[in-house]
Amino acid sequence: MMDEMDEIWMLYADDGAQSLDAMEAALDALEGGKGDMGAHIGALFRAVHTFKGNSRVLGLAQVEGLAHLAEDLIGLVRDEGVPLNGEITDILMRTGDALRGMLEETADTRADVEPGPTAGLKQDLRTMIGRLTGAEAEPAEPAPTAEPQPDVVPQKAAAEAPAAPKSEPEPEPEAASAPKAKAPVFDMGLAGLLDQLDGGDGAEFDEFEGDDDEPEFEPEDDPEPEAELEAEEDGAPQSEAEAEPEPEPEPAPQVKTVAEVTEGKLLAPDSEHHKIFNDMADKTCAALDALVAEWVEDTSPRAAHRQADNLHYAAGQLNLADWLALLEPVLSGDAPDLAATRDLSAAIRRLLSGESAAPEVAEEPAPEPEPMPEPAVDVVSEPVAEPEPAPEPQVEAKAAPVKKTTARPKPAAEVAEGKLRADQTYHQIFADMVFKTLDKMDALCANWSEDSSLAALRKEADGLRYAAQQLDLTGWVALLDPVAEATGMSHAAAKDHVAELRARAAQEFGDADAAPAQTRGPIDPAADGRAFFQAIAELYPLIADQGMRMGGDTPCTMEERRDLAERIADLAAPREYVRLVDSAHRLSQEPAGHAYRAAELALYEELVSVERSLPASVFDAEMMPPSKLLGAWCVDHIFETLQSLRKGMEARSVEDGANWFPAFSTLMRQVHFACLNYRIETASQLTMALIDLFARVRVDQKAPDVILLQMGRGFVDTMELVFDALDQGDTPDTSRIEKMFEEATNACFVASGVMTAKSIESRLGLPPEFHRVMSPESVKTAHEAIKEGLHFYVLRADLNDDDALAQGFLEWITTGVVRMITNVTVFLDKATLFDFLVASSLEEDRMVERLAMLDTTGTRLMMAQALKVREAPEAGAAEPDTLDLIPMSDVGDSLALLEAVGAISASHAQLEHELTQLASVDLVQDVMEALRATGVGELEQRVRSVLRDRLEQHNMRLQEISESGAQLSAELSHLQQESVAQRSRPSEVLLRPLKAYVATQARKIGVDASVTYVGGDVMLDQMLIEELRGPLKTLVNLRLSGEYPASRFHISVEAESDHVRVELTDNSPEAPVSEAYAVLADEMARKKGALRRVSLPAGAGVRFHLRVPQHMIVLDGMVVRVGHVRYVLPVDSIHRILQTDRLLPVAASGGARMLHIDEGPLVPVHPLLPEPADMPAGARLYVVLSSNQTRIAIPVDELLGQQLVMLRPLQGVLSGMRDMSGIAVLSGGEVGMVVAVSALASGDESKASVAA
Amino acid sequence: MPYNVMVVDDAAMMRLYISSFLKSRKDFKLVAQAANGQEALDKLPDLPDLDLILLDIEMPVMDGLEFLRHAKLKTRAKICMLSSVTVQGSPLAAKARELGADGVVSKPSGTVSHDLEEKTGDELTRVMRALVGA
Repeated sequence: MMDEMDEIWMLYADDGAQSLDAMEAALDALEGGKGDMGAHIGALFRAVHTFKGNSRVLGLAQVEGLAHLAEDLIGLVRDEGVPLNGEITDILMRTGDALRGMLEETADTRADVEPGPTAGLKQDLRTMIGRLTGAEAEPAEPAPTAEPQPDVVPQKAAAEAPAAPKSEPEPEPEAASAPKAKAPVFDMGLAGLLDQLDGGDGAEFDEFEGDDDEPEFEPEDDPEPEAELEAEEDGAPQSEAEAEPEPEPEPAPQVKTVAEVTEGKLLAPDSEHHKIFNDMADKTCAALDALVAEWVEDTSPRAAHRQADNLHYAAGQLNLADWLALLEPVLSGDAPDLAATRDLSAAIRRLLSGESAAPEVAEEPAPEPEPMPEPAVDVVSEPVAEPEPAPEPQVEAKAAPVKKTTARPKPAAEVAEGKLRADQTYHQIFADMVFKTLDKMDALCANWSEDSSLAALRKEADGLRYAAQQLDLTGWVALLDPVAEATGMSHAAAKDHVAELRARAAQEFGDADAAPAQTRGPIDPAADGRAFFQAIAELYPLIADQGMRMGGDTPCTMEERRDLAERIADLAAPREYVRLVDSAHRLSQEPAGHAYRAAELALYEELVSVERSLPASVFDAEMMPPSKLLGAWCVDHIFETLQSLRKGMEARSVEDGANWFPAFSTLMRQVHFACLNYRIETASQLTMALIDLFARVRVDQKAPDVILLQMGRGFVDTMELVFDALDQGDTPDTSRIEKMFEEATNACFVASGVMTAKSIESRLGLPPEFHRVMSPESVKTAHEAIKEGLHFYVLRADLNDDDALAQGFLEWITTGVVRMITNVTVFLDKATLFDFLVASSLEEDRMVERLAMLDTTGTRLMMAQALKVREAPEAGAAEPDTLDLIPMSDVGDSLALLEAVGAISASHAQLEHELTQLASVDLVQDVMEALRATGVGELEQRVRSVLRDRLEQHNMRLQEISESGAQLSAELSHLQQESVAQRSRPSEVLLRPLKAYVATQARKIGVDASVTYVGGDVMLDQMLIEELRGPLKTLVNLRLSGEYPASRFHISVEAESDHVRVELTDNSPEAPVSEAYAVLADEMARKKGALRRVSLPAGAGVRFHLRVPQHMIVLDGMVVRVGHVRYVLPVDSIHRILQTDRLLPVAASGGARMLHIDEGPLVPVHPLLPEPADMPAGARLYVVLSSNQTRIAIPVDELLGQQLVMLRPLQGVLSGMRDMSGIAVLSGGEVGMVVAVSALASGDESKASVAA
Repeated sequence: MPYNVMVVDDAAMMRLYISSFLKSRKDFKLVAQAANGQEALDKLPDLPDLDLILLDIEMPVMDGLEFLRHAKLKTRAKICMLSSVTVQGSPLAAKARELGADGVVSKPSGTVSHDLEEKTGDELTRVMRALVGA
C-alpha cells in the first residue's frame, strides 16, 4: 500500500510529465507559427511555472532553478515584448529535454540532481536573459556550500530592475492595469513563512473556516536571478550570498522568527555577513570612485544613487545604524552630484576604517553630556542582535576593517535595536537639546567668522542630527542635513538655516521660554508608532506560536496566554489603544478553535487600525506593517475563504437574522485584506460595500434576500477567477468587479424604484457636491417633483449661528410650497454652509422674494442656482446597464405584495361580476312583470312614466359604475403584471454567474471549460431562477467530474406560457449514467418539472432538457367550464374553437378519440374530466390547443370569457397534478385550474405515436 | 441605566434633531455633542463611560472618517456613522466599514434631515440597540 510520500512522488512524476508535454506542445506550436501565438506563450509559461512549483514543493532546488530560469526567459517574451526567435525556442527545447531527464531522475531517486550536468545550460539561459534585459550575464554558479540563507530577498534591488523578468514585486494599484499582477515577491515568501509558523498545514484556518483540502500554498519567493542581474547591471560587488542563484536543496527556505521578517532582518547577522557587507562597502567605494573619475552628468548620478541604495539595503538587513544614517540622506534627495558622490565615497571609507562618517565630527568630542541616548556603535564584526552571538574567531579575524568604537559608546542592547525606542522622555530631552543647540548656533551667527564658524555650525548640526536619527525624526534629519554636510556656506545662508530650524522648533515644541523642559515636545507620532511596532514585532513569533499550539495538541497554559496578552497590553495601554488591549485579553480568554482564530484575526485587525492612524513613513523596507502580514495570511487561504463564503451563502438562504452575519463578515474581511495585499482596490472596496449591504439586512434580523445572496455568489465566483488568475501568474480580469461595485452602489435605488441617484443628478445637472449623496427617498421625491413639472433650486443657507432662522427655514422648505429633496455641507473658507436642493412650483423671482422675507439681512439665505430639468434620455440610454441592476427587494415581501394585489384584484372582479349582472337587468320590465304577477292592474300612464324614468336612470347609473369597474379591473390587471414584472429578472443573472462558476470548477480540476448561452434576455421570476440554479450547477459539476470532462457547454433558455425550457448541451462523449442524474430527475419531477437527457450522435456530447413550470405569471386566459369545474386555457395556446361532432374513435389507443378538423391531421381529444359513459351524442364544443407543434382538443361545456389571471403554483396534494400548471382566482371569485398545455400535449403526443 | 451617547455633527439643527430623537428613547442619553471630529476627539478622554457615538462624515476641521481612524483606537464606545453620504453599499459606506465603523445608517434627506425620526428612526434605534447590546 502506498504511503503518502509514494503518492506525492507519483503525482509529481505524472504532473511533471504532463507539464513537460504541454511545454513541448507549446514550443512545437510556436515553431509552427500557427494559431494564437499569445496563447501558446501563455501555455508555455504556465507549463513551466507549474513544473517549477511542483519541484519547489519537493525541495528539488536544482530542478526548480533550471525551470525558474526558463520561466524568466519565457516571461520576457510574454510580458516584456521580447520577440520570440529560433534561439530562444532552441534553448527552451534544450531546457525541456533537460527538465525531462531531471524529472525522471528525481522521481526515481527522490532526491535532487547534481548541479553539474545542467550548469552550462543554466549559464546559457542566464546569459541570454542578461542580454535580452540589457544586463550583463551572470557568473556561473558558485559552489553550493557558499550559499547563505536561500530566501534572503534583496527586494529593493530587485524592484528596481525594470527590464529583468519578474522584477515587479509591487503590482500596480489595480491589478487589471498591471502587466503581471502577481503578489509581491516578499509577500508570497511571507505567506510561505507564515505557513511554516502555522505548522505548514494551514491548520490555523481549519477550525476557523471548516475543511481545508486546498493544496499547499506555493511560495514564489525566488528573485535571486533578478537580484543578480541588478547587481551586475549596477556593477555592484557580487557577494557570495548575492551571486548564488539557486536555493539549497535542503532544507526548504527556513525562517527564524516572524519578528525577523517584519523587521526586514532576514539575514541573521553573523560574522560572515558582516564580512560580506564590508566587502560590499569596499567595492561600493571603488565603484563610486570610478564614477567620480569618469563622471557623466547624464548617467553617473543615477548610478551613484543605485550604489548607495544597494549598500543601504544591505545595511538595513544587518541593521547597521551608522551606515543607514550615512546613506539615508543620500537616498532621500536627488541623485548625488559629483561632489556628493565623492563625499559619500570618502565617508564610506571612514566608516570602514572605524572612523565617524563625518570628517569634522570624528575628531570632535561628544556633544554636551545630555541624558540623551548615546550614539550607537556599529560594531560590524559583532552580531549583537543575536541572543547568543557565538562569533567564530577565525572568521572574525578575516573580517574587513571594522569600526572599533566612537566617542559615544552605548549598551549592546541598544545597538541591537539599532534605533532607540522613542518615548516621551527622549523627545523632551530632544526638545531641550534643540533649543540649546539653536542658542549656540545663534551665538555663532552673531559672531560669524569665515574661518571657523561654519565648522562649528556643522558640528552643532551634526550632533543634533545624530540625536534626531536615533529618534527617527526624519523631518529634523532632513532639515539638519544641509547644515551638517555643508562644504561652504555664507553668513546669510547660515542665518537663514538657523532661522528655519528655530521656526520648526517653535512649531513643534512651542516657545522655548514659555514651556518648561519637561512639558515641551509632544510625542512624534511617527517615531512613537515605529517604536510601538518594533516592539510588537518581537511578539509576532509568540503570537504565531501560541496560535499554532492552540490549534494543536499542546495548547498554551492560561498563564502563558495571560503573559502574552499582558505583554501586548503593556505596549498598547500607555498609548490608549483600548480596543487593542481588549483584543489582546480576548486572545487569552477564548477557547481553542474557531473562537480563538477569530480573536487572533481581531487582534491583527486592531493592529491594522493602529497602522492606519500612523503616517505611512513609519513603515519602510525595514518595518513590515501588520496589514501586510494580515494580507499575506489571508492570501494564503483565500480559496478556502471563498469556499466557506459560498457554503455559507448556500445555507444562508434558509437561516435567519443574527446568526449568519458574524461569520460572513469575518470571511469577507479576509477577502478584503487579501485584495489589499494584491492592491486590487476596487475589489477590496467591493467587499466592504457588500458587508455594508448585508449588515443592513442583519439589523432587521432577516436572512439576506435571494438577490443579495445572488450578488454575493457572483462576487465569490468573480473573486475565485481573479485569485485563480493571480495564483497562475496571469493578469486577472477585474472589469467585472467594477461593474459589481456599481451594482452594489445602486442596489438600494433599484429596490425602491426605477431611477438611480445618477439619473436624477444627470437630469437636474446637479453640481458635484450633490453627487452620490442622494438617498433613495430623496431620489423618489425628486422623481415625483420632476413628473409634476416643479422647478428646482439650490439654496445656500448659513444656519449654524441662527437657530430661529434655521427653524423657520427648515419649516418652510418642508411644508407646503417648497419641497426639500436633499442638502449637503459646503465648506467655504472657515464657514460651514449648507446647500439645499429643493423643488417648488414657485418661479425663480418668487423664490428669491420668499428667501428675502425669511432672511431680511440677505446674508444667510440666498439662491445659489436655479436648475433646469433636462429631458429624459431615450429609454435604455438613461439608466446604467439595467440588466445588471439587481434590486434589493425581499422576495418574500414582494411575493406577499403580489398576493395582496391578486386578492384585491379577485375581490374586485367578483364585485364587478355582480355589478355587471345587476346592470344588465331591465329593471322596468322586471318591475312591471312583478306587479303583473301579484295581480296589480295596469298602472296609470303617468305613474308608469315616472317609474320608468327613475328605473332607467338607476339602470344607467349602474351601467356607468360597471364600466368604471371594468376600467379599474384593467388597471388592477396591469398592476398585477407590473408586480410580476418587478419580480422578474433576465435569465442573464442566472447564466452569467454560471459561466464563471463553470470556469472556476473546471480550473479546480485542472481543465478548461467554457460556456456559451442564448436566451439571456428571457425574463424569469426570481423564484424560478433559484429553482434552476441548483440543477444546472449539479449538471455541470457532474459533467466536469467524469472521466472525460466536458470542455464546452451551451445553454439555451426559452419561456413558454406556463413553463420554462432550458437545454444544456456539452461535448463530453461520456454517457450520463450516474445515479446522481436519476436523483436530480426525481427532484425535478417533484417540483413539477422534468429532466431528460439525450446523447448526441457520434459521441458529440449530451443534451439535457430541463423543464420548470412558471410561477407568478399573469396569464391571458380563456375561462371555460367543464362540468362544475372552471379551467383557464392560455390564450396564446388556443389554435381554434369549434363546435363539431366529427369524432373518430381510435381502437388501438384504448378508446381514445380523434377530432377531425378541416385543416391538418386529426387532433387527439383530451377530456379534462372523465366523461360519463352515457355522454349524449351530437355536436360539442372543443378548444383546440397547440404546443410545440402538437395539438390537442379539449371538450368544454361553456366558454366563460377571456380574462387576465395570476397564475399561482399548486401546493399540497394538488402539486401532483401533472396536467395543471397552477390555479387562478377568476373574476367571479371562483378558483380556476390553469391547464398546462405543454404537459397535456407531450402526454398526448406519446399517446398519438402509440396510436399511429 | 441608559446608554451614554455622543453626537458628532457639524449641523446645529441636525444635532437638535438627533437630540430630540434620543430624548424619546429612554434607553439612551445624550451626554456630549461635538461639531467636528477634532472637537469630539478632544472630548473623548473626559467620557470614559461613553457607550455610543453617532458620527457624521462631512465636517470641517476633522471629518468623520478621520475621527473614526483615531477614535477607534482610543474608545470602547461603539461608533455608528450617521451621514447622508453613507448610502447603502456606497463607496463611503464601504470606507467607513473598512475603517471599523460598528454601524452605518444613512440620513434620509441630506446633511440636515428633519425627517430623521420619521423615516429612519426605527432603523437607527435598532442599530443603536444592537451595537450597545441592549
